[in-house]
Amino acid sequence: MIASVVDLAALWKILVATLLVGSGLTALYAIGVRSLARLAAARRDGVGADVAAHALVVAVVTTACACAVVLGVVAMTHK
Amino acid sequence: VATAGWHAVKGQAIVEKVLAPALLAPIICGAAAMVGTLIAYRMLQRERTAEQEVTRRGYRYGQVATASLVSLAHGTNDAQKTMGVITLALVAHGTLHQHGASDFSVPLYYGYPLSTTHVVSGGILGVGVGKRLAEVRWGLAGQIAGAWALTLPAAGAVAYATFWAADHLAGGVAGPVIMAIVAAVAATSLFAAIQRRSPVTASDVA
Repeated sequence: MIASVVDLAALWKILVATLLVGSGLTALYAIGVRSLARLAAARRDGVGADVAAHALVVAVVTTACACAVVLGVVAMTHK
Repeated sequence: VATAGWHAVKGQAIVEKVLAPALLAPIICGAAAMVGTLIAYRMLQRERTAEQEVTRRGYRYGQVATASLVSLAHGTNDAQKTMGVITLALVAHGTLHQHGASDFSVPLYYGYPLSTTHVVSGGILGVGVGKRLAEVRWGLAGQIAGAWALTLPAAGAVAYATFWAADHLAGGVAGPVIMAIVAAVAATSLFAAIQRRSPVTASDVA
């Protein structure tokens, strides 16, 4: 009954993509922002190892988010 | 309906392509926004007060990117609806052949028609739920849902009345032109009346 009015094949892809990309990217960005805050604290406290670790996390998250933005633009302009 | 009668309406297609997505889009996006907001708040709530300005700045940059993407999504998705309506009007009038209209089909990435308006509204609701349940103005959410429910029959009724009036008032191009002027005057009057009663300012979107 539901399958006759709802395209279930498309729906499950949307569900997975929304939860993975929507929630996952938000969580990833939160990790980046948290590391950015801790990077500022580590710089102020002068803890070199923490500065390097948090800077690495910020760089990885920034790259991943930038890639997600590019992928989003490509997906939207090629639909 | 006005040109070809009720048999021209494909009920299953309306449910499949309009009603089901309109119902599912806010729920799916709301769920994703709620989970994302919950995770973000859990992660950042224990950060030291001294670093809150850094966190705020980080999210400000993020907001610029997400707002730009929403604008792009709206422009590449919802703007096509107007083109679709114009195409349908041209087909109904006989100016455009029916086969020419098929080129206007713009399927979404996974082949499902979702409205940015419904997705964004669901997302805002989800963020409110994820932050704290009390943050959501459920009365307003109910009004929005009520307006969505009314949109389809109301738009259909207005389109029917406009087409009927244009067809019976005057022949040829004069009828549509008269109705376009009437519609423009009605829309301007409605906007002016709303602005007098409760003005919409920049603070409403800030």
